[in-house]
Amino acid sequence: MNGTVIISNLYKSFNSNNSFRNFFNRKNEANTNISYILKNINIRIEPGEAIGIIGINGAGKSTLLKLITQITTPTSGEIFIDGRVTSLLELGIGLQLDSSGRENILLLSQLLGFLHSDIENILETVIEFSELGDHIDNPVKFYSTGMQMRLAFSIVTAIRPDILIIDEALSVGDAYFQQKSLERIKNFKELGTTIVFVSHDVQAILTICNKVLLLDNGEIIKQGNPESVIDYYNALNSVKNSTYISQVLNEDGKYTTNYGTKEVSISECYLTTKENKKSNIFEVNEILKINFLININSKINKLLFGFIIKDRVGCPVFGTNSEHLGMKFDASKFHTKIKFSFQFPANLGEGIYSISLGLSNSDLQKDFNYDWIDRIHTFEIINTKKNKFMGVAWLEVKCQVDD
Amino acid sequence: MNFSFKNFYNELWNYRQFIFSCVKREYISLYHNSFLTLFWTFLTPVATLIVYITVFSNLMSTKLSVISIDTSHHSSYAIFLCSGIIFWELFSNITTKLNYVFIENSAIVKKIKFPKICLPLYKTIISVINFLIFISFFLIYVVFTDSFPIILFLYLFLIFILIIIFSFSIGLILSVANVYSRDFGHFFVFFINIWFWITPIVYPIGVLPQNILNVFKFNPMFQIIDSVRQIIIQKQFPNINSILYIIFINLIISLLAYYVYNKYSNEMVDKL
Repeated sequence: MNGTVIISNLYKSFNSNNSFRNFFNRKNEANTNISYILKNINIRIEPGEAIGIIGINGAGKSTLLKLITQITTPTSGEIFIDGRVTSLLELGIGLQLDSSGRENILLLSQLLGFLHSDIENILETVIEFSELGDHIDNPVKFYSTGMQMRLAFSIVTAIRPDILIIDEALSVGDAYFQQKSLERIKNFKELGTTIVFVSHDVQAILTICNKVLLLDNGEIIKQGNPESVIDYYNALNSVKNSTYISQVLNEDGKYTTNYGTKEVSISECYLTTKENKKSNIFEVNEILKINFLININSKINKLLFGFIIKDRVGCPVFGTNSEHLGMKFDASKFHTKIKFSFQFPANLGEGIYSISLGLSNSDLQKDFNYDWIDRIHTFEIINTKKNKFMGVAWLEVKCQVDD
Repeated sequence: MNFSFKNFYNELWNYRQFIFSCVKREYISLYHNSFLTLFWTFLTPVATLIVYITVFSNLMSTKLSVISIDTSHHSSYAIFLCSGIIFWELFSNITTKLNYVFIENSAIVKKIKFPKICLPLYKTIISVINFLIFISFFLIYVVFTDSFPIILFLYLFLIFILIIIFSFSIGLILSVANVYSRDFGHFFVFFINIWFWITPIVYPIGVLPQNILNVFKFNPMFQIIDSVRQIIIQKQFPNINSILYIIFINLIISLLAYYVYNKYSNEMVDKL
């Protein structure tokens, strides 16, 4: 079926045996020091799926995309691709700087292999979507990077492909165009296009993708549900010097990610109402209290604690920590067991939310974590008392009509 | 990777519009930035010709008479020289342009999947168009000043095709090899200068000593230029052995080019 991508046992190396020098000197340095950019990659993507690929710089994301686009060939292994692939790899994608935007539409669409009959039709839609207006007749060298990206994206996505590959490119555009592009990508996905998407923008990945691969050092170290893989990735990033990462599958089919140095650890977390009654279901605007117990396992002199509430797909709704709240205390005087709590009215929309808790010695999550638990607890917000509304936040609204 | 001639031509056919647009863009951008471009494009070859004519016509006058050219005025040497230089320029233009074609266009080669052969092809087409402009001026002059048997045009056309195949094959090998090691490109830029002088372009074959002539004869461009001269100057059919030798060399070089392109062009992207 159109849109399937199957990659099996794929290896990619940039210093393979098949170099041109060996054309003259065949015995030379064969099989020595081959370092693989990608190792043992196995992926199966069904039509209409949207796959996000995350990983630190140099993990092999772009190389993998180039292989799927068939710009380069694998050193060993198989790639099977069914359908027309278009890709937007990095910036400036083959735009001719001396030519005008209009000429570039023609050139790039020919380069992408669009049919002649289609090219005439897309011209107007590309100009309209890119919103370049009068700039379309100026040479591309006078465009800003954002404008170049808008033009390139509009051309590449002018005709719906079976497989669409996008690498970072969107990060350049302004918020408005990013949103617009994401809408188009989502629309393609609904129509059955397979999406392969590389981005450092977690929000974008969460909104588009239904599966995420985490690449590290050329290998897929984690794949599956976007939220859990992204949590794992964040954990991996912030605990370069920590001892502990774990992911546990919960009853609801989602993962709890836990990492940190464990110098201070979270031992218990529960939610209560204003009257200190344990509960997992709250009314809109009802007081919600997050209580948690921590153990101090070794001597520390600074301690910050905070929480993030995330919605159903893992987008943060609200988060804060003790430093933001202006609390200062001397951590070295604490006993071994301490109880903290946060209390606030649950001014949230209906739905299921999760809580992530963190203990750290500074505001930056990347810096140094004692203990961090994603999805330590979930709760549900119901609305039986307030008026009907939409969205993740509840605001007290008064409506007035003046005549 | 499976590679078949049928796929190859199908792909190329699908990209014919792209090749055409590239050629068009090259001319537009050439004439867009400077309205004197036409003047500049003609200035260099004309200046070169004038230098050669003034320097060599007196030097060569006795030797030229060997191949039955009227040496009483400069124009005969001019025709002799032009016939050689125009065909040589076709060869040297194609090869030097192709030399860096993938390196110059690395931005699109690295980011978009398309038949890479389109790039050397469109560069070749541009060189051929430039050649056709020069040769038509030249042939009009030759035909009007002297009688010229039409049948000889067919031979000239054959040689024209053979030069294109020869230059394209050499250029294609260079373009791929140059990506792997820039030494190939630098060497060729240097070598083509020597190649110019071991080919009888500014001098007639008659000035060469017999032992050197025996070595130079293996130079395919030697045979090509010599055949061109036979047709245009002496108005004879070219030596059949020369033509067969050129075809033979073409066959080897184009097979080699096919092998190199087929084997190394895919991995080339990683080296750019």
